[in-house]
Amino acid sequence: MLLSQPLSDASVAICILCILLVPLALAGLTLLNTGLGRSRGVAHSMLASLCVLAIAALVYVIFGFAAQGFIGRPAHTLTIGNSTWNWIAQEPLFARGVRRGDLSGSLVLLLQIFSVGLAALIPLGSGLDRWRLGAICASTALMAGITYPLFAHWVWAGGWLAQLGINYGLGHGFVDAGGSSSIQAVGGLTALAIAWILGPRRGKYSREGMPAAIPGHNLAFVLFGCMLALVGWLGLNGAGAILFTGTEAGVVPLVAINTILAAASALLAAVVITRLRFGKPDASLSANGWVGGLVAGSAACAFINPPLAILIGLVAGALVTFSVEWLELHLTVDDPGGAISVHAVCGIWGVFALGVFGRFPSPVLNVAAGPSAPPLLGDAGQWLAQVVGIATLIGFVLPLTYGLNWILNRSYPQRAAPEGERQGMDLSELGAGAYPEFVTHTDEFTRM
Amino acid sequence: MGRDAPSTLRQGNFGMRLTGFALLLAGWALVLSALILLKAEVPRTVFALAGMAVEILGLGLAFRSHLISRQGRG
Repeated sequence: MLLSQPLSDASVAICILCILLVPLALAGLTLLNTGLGRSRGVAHSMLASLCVLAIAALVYVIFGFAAQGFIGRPAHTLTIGNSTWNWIAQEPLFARGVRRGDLSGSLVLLLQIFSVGLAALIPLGSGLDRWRLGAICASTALMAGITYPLFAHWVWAGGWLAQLGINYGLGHGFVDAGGSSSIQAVGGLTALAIAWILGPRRGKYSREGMPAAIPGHNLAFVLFGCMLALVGWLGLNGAGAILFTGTEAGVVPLVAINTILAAASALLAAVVITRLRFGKPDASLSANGWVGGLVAGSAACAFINPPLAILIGLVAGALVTFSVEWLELHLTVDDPGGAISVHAVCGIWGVFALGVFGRFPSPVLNVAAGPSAPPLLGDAGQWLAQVVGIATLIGFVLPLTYGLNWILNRSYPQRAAPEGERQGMDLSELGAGAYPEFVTHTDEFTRM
Repeated sequence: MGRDAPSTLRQGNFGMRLTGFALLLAGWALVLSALILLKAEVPRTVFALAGMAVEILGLGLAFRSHLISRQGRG
């Protein structure tokens, strides 16, 4: 589908349905993060998630969308040699560029409001049990206003990464249908920056250097969160494929099949690997494997066949189990929710996998190509376009998000006070716990 | 650093951290330079991969600068 062609009625209907499913991914991730944290931080974690969604939506609509824009809209460009690099959108604040009745623009804005919320929820997993509510809100504003829109413009709004095909003959330019890079990897790399800045939880590492196991307080939350996340991801990948790659409505069932297969194979890989290594399957690592499969399968969901979705999922499941251990044991990064492994590592793998396995039967709607624009090239060089995107994530997005959060931390300390961390985030920040009856039961047992 | 962050983060090797992030940016600049300056496929690919290698080196340094020492654990 070319830019000049409007969305078909079927595409619009499916797209709206898919977008309305995306909030379930947010709910699933919230439950996952909360379940993997301690019981004395449940109310804090849930309230923080709601605050993240609220701030992300407001800041993104007020500022972020002005920097991101959408395909075919005015943008600031830079001419280098014979090529025009599209750097940042030229939209008015408060999303006033989306006119009443502008169906494509409205759908992109709606999907992006949920997407930026999802990206901003990811760092909560790495900052569990020690990240102050005020700092969470401020950090979310930075992501929704600066980091996310900038990279999403480059990928999804005809930015220079999407132009790599037209400008430098690298396949179809950088392609990401469901957000493995712009949502997941951006969120995962921010999670890494937050984990670095906050440092590990008290008592996580012994004086001998061994990490203590601090298991999640509610695995039912975690596993139910996985199921909700699947439904949300089906919507995210379906809507993303239609709006950002020009996929026809008839391909959306294949997108859904690939999404499910990637998650399923990643879960089974994690179950088998943890069973072989530890004697029994590890529920929390397996849950992380499931989400890792969803993350990795997002980029290529519209451009691969089911066997390749299974392969991508299998690798993602293995990557999650090994990288969680590597980060905790060897790199002393305390990431209670596994956000870095699941979203950054698997997101980058998904982006690379698209470059290796993706096949493109029709032009990809990722550049502002008018009727006189040259036809898009074939698949040759696609992997290099994906590598350039990965280099941008690691070489630009990570320093940017670390720098922004480091500056924030200098002016407003992000980590909770030691006494507050000992009490738990619920009592110290909210004044009341999520499970007050637990205390009563403890007292009763003590008296017996 | 944050209020009561582990001591090692306060004492962490700031120079190494800065070098790590500088290498990340330098690697990215190399990848972009490869796209702009080189037209032939093989040199461009090699140059871009060299940029990625510099980024991996920078990432390693960034991780190393955030390692907590034994004194900081517990």
